[in-house]
Amino acid sequence: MAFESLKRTPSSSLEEYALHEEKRRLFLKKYGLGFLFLGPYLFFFIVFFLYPLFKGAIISFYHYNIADPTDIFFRGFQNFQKILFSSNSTYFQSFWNGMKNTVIAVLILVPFSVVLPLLLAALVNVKPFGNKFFRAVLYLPSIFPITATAVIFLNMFNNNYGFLSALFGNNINWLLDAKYNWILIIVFCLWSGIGGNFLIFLAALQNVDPMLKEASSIDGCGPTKRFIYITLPQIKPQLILCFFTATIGYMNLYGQNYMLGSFVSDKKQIATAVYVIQDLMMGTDFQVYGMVSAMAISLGFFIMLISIAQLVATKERKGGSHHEREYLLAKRQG
Amino acid sequence: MNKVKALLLLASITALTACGGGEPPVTSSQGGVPSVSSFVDESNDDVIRDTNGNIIFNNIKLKMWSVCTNPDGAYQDEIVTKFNQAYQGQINIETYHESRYSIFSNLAKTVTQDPDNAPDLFYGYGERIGALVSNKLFVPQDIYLEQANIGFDKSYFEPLLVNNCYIGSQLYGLPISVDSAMTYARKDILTKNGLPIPTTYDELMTTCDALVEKADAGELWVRGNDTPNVAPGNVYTWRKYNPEIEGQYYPFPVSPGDMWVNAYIGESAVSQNGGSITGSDGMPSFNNSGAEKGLQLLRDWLLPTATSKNKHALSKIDLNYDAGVTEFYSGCCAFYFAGAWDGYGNTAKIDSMYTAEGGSADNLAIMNPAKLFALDASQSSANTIFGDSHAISIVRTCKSRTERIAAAIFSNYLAENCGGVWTKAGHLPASLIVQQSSELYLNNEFFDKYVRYYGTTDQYRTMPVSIYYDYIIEGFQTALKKAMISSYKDTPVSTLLTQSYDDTMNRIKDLQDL
Repeated sequence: MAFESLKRTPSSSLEEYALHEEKRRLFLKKYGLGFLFLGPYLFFFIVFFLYPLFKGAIISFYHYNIADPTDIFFRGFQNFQKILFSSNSTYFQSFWNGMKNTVIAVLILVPFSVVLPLLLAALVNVKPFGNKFFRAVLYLPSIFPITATAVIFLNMFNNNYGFLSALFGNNINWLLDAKYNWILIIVFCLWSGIGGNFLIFLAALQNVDPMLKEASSIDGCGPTKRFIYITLPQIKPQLILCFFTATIGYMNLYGQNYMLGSFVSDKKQIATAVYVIQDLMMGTDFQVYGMVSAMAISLGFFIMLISIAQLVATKERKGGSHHEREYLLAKRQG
Repeated sequence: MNKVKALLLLASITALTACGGGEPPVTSSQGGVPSVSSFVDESNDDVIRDTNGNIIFNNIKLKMWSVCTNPDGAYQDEIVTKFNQAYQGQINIETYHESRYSIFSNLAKTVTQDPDNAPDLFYGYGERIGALVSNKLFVPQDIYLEQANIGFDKSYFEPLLVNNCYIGSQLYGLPISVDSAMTYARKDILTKNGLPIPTTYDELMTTCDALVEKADAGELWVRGNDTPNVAPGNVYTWRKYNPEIEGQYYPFPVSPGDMWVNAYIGESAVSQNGGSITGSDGMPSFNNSGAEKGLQLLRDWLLPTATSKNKHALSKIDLNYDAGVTEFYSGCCAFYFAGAWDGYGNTAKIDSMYTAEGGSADNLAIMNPAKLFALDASQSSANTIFGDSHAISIVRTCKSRTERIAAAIFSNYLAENCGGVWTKAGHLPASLIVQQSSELYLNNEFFDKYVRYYGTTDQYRTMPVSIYYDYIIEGFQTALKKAMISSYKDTPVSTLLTQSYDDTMNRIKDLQDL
């Protein structure tokens, strides 16, 4: 009774208090378990994503020296102005050069990292002899760290004693020449990166309604047409997911270029946007962190724009799948 | 309504942030050399002395961060363990090793954001002290060395190395050692073919040309480990090099991708031809004729011309990395570059291959870079060697005066004990006392075996103090790498240097404008 009196304000009536308590109880009942499950993720999301994001956003408006707290001062939009509009600035030049390299890499990599695992998943889904082995082999490269596998690639493609150069008897300079190095980076990205998408597609293909396939076969649909008109629409959500994640992932391309491009003489040729950001943070130039944050925020903004464009482009049009809905309705009605 | 409020809030924040920048603090550098105001010791004066006036160290625990990773890290730990034993119950050092690629930014972040876990001592590079001091990470060491009363004297150290640790009139680091890259030569092959071990650039080119000509004529005697093209045999068995089976002979493979080439040899070539990479003002200076001569010489190494000293290419062009390692042991080349720290491994390898014929002593020659890249060996600059120096500093997060004095005592111990196992890693001691010590250095087995060939510390040149160290070295190395690869072979070296110099100056200007 004493506790209750503490919780009540002098003017509140007992009914109001009871209503408030009921609301609280219902809220906890409705969302409590959700928060409990969400809690661990939410904690790490806030600590390792939300907080750094906000802090980075704030730092991007400053001249920020990580070593010297007396060397921090507000610069307003000057960092952004330099990166986005000041063409004489080396920050502008390196950022946009990085963006150009990144976008080219994304344009090449994303279609391959969707189509290639899809085709492989379709093949494995036929369940040929040893399909479980193929499934494991295709996913295996994804579980190894980039640094370890990149060192293997560096040795394989060394033009002096590399295994592949010796096998094909060519003298292509994969590690020194930027254009060949890009081919190597793309091959490496695909080899090490398609495993995740492959598994998603394989699971999606296994969930395609076999009755639909059967019905289409009865209607005279061949394997190619069946794949295009039956299977693909059925796995559209997974296709969109892989397309999104691949685009966002490769917009952050860095480790592969850092490792495999370490011998390229002119780093500008292989520097992606994240590479430029990371490169600025190496060594003892501690006062660049405001600029670096502005670059990161700008990159994040561009990725967001691309994602919105993708969302709009892949949004289901009105009536776009009415045939499917009509079919399902008819199926339910018998 | 909530959305409207959120938008208004966002607009207000944006308006506030758009109000333009504040005034930057007064810069504290002249050119690229940091200038520091006179130091005021604000450490906690917790010094306790005994009746004799000696400072009492009661189990002081200090943390040291070091750029040395294995094997150097393990050798360093051995020295630290000996110190901890000698000062048991008084001072204890705990060491943490991290790669040079990340340790500097981690140091800066830890000092400002997590000072309780920041180190008390930092073992890094003498050339980088300027940049770290300009960011107020270190405190001067001389005043604590003086208070430690251990007889510190600047003249006990190699002048160039200790002077590089001075910012203004204060010593911000104690130099420990210096190292560079070396040329390893197959003495047995040269002797068998009647060729001398070269000591100058001219001699090196003459020897290499002779080797190529002998190989082309099928008259070159070689021996070594198996090669992919030659059937396995005895490493002692001499055979004639056959270009038709084994490919074009290259006596001295080199790759700009190798660290010892882009971090030491290129810089040595510039220095030996009278050039410089950084001026005394700490600003880039590699757009000079000495640098041009040095880089042209390295290009000629790979792409000889009518005017170059060498008639034949000494190395295949566009090698990726680890150039010459395999060829050196198979006898398919006579020379190769490697770090000073490879002295131990290389002598051990030749020892194991030719045990019955005197091992490395009779079959391996080690040459320091002096005069090997100088177009004119008579110039005084020809005798210089470009290297990296190690130095130890006290970090500003070491707040207690007793701890700072303890840190100074440890620094001095490290400087005085950088012979012994430290020599194993190919480091030349900065301390002149250690250099003259029979026990620590001259009678050391590693000195006797390989370090004796590494030159003397007065021959060594390091980068002068500059807060723009990273930009300058990166700019120079970009020009160097381009000069040594085929895709830029038609671009004159002077153009590559100028482009890189302009790029570096623009980066520095942008950094200053921040």
